[in-house]
Amino acid sequence: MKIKILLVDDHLLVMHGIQQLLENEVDLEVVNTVCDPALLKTEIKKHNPDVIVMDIRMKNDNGIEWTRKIAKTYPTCKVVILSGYDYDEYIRAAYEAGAYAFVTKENSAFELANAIRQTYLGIKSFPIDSLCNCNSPLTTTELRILQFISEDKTNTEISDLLHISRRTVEHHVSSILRKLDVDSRVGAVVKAIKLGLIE
Amino acid sequence: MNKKVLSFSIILISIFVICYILLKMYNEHVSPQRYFPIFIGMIFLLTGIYSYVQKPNSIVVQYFLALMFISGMAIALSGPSSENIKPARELEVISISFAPYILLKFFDHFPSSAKPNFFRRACILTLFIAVFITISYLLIGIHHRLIISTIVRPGIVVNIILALLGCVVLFYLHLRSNSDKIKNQIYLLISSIIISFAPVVILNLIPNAFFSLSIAPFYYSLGSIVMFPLTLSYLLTRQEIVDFREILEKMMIRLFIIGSCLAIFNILLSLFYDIHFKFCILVNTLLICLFIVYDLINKGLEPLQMRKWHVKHEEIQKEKLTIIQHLLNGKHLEHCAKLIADLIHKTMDVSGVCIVWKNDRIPTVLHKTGIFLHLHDSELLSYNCQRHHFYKITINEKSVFFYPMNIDDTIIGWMMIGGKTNATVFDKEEQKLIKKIQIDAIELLASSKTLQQIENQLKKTAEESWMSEQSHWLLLHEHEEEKRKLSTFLHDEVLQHLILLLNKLEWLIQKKNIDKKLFEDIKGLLQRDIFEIREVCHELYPIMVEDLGLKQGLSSLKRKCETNYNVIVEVNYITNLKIISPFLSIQAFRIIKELVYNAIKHSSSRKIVVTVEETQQFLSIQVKDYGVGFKVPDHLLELSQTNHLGLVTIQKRVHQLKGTLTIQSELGAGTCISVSLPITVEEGGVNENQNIVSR
Repeated sequence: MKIKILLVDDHLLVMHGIQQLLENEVDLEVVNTVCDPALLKTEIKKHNPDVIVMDIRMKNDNGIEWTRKIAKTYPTCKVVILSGYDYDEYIRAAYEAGAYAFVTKENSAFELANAIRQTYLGIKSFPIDSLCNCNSPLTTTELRILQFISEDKTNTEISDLLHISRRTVEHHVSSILRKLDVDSRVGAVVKAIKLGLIE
Repeated sequence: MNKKVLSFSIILISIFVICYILLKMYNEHVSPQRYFPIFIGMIFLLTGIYSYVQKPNSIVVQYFLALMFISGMAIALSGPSSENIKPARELEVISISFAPYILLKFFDHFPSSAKPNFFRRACILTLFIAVFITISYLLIGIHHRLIISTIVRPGIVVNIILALLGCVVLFYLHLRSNSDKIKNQIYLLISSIIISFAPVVILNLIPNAFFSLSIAPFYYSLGSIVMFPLTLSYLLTRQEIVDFREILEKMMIRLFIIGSCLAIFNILLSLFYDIHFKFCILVNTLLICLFIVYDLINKGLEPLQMRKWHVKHEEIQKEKLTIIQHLLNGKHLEHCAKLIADLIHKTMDVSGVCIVWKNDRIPTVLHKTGIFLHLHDSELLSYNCQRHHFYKITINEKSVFFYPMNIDDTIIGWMMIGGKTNATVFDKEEQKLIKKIQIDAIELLASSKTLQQIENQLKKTAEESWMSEQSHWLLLHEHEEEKRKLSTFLHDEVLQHLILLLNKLEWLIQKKNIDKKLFEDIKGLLQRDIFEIREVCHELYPIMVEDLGLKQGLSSLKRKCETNYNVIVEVNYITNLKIISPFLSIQAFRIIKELVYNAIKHSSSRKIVVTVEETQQFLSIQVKDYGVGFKVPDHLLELSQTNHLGLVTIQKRVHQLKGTLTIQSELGAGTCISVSLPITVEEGGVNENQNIVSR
């Protein structure tokens, strides 16, 4: 028996893209796509889907809130949140609302399918959990930036030194913090010294 | 032009005729009093000519000239004609028979032109009668006295009565319905007629009819008749005329006083003496003359009598001018008070002056001189009591006069004046002077106060407007700068990366096998782009605050700051489960973000504490750092001059949200900025989802 999936997104193109990706999987079946969450109730009654894949942000609606409602009224329908943002706050909000998984849109279709399967089985999967055990090595650029951070340089100074944009520096810094599993620059420096990454 | 020549030639001829008759009269040895009407007639004629010269183009004046000419001739020739001098009689008959017609014609245009129909008919009728009389007289009447007595004389009388009746009716109609100006003119005219004919009636006609005696010769009492043409001439030639009724009222009062004085005098006289009627009149006339002489002398000596007063008055005016000058120069209350005190000292020999003024309801001593110098301000103020009128007290055995200055029954200050140095009382004139100074002082101090307020307000407003203009200009630049940044980002980052990606993808196709490293490369680039675009979006509009609420937004802000700067941001969110609208949340978030970034940029503090508390009616925000601090300017807009737009923008935002902003900062001790925003429940209900999310 295939897993019945209902897609909810107000971005039609993206939704069809996801539909195609999911239909490649043999064990998944997209029963319908919904643009307007207002039609969600009738669709749920009609198809009784196993998993609802929901965009976190639609023009006039809030996916998190709909997740909360669905979790309350139709506990058999499990919700997977699909998001354009990967901020921790969103992930936490989704978790608190009763979603089973949180997948960012740039994640691969494989990851989404995997999340759907796990959800179907009743296993919750959130990036935070996966991030925690993701201890991938730092790239050379990240190591250089970490070195600069330990020298108490600001992002602007680093961007000047490396001839990259300030925002790119920010991206690298956030990546470093994520990889080292720390909250602040100070924490990153301390941990990097501990790990022997910098002197 | 022709008309002018004609009228002047007629007048010249008539003057020539009069002169001829005069010579003839002289030859016939006529009694001298018969000459008198000739002079009166000449005055009529000259009045007419004068008016005509003054206003030759006015049709009313032209008719006036004709009237004066005809009546002047009639009067001038009345004397000679009764002496039977040759052309005089004929000319008199002609002129006197046409006089009514001309009179009506004149009143046809005076005082206004609109006339009822009956008046025109009366006018034509008088003309007809005049022509009839003239023809019948010239053709037959000269040689037949019977014709004269049966036709000519009654005809003339009827004609005159007709004309006079017409005039009376006309006056009555005018008085009943017309403007005040015309009414005034008619009153003036009527009174001039009364004055003109009163002497004749009182001195000749009435005594003649009732007592059969003549008080004054008829010809002399006729003199006053010239009042009538003079008044008319005045009315016609002068543009503006005096308010006759007011003058009359004053005159009446005077006449009444004189009349009652005379009556009392006469009664007293008759009680003690047996008086002859003639003697009585003589005494009364003398008394009237005495009154007139007294009045004239009094008027003549008035400047001499009031000289001292005038000098002082002029001095006051001069001082007033100086004070106003000072006012305009921006020196205010104290200076005014000093000048007023000086003025009082100059005008009177007083022992001291003290001026107290209520500034914002608190009395203050503005200026003191003389005896008041020894007294302390508080002691002086203790004497003031809430009396609205002049009063006198004794301080240190010296009498002091209090003159309260009131505006609309509220006391706004006091003038305290010490007694005169020679210890005499203030006489009436001096009291009047003080009163006058007091009134001027009230006006002056009040207006100087207003002026001061206005000036301050103006200065403040000008400064504010300049600053806000400055900040608007800077904000405009800021706006432009933001746009430029966004455009640069899209072009230099996103676009370049997309082009790079496209190139890499093409390379991928060329190589035809999927290179793992190349793929990772592309993936990394794409992830970086996604990250950057996301950050820019978040900076442009903090959508997370709208989606998840202020608390979550702040925690993301904290993370971002701690990631990118060497600071620890402590966020204390004290929730009270209040419903905060997404709009207010976004605004609060922007304010906090700006304050935190300000602290990071300027304070060099390693720790920033953000406290947000939801209270019953307010969302109170506090951002505190432990950095260098700064000097808080009097006016925040001053910061915009040094390109520090952050705080100015925050202030504008807070102001628009009707909140309050407090800045506490000390150099070296850090800064604490508190913002309090009112929580207003939006009408019509906010989106249900967002309500719950924001909890």
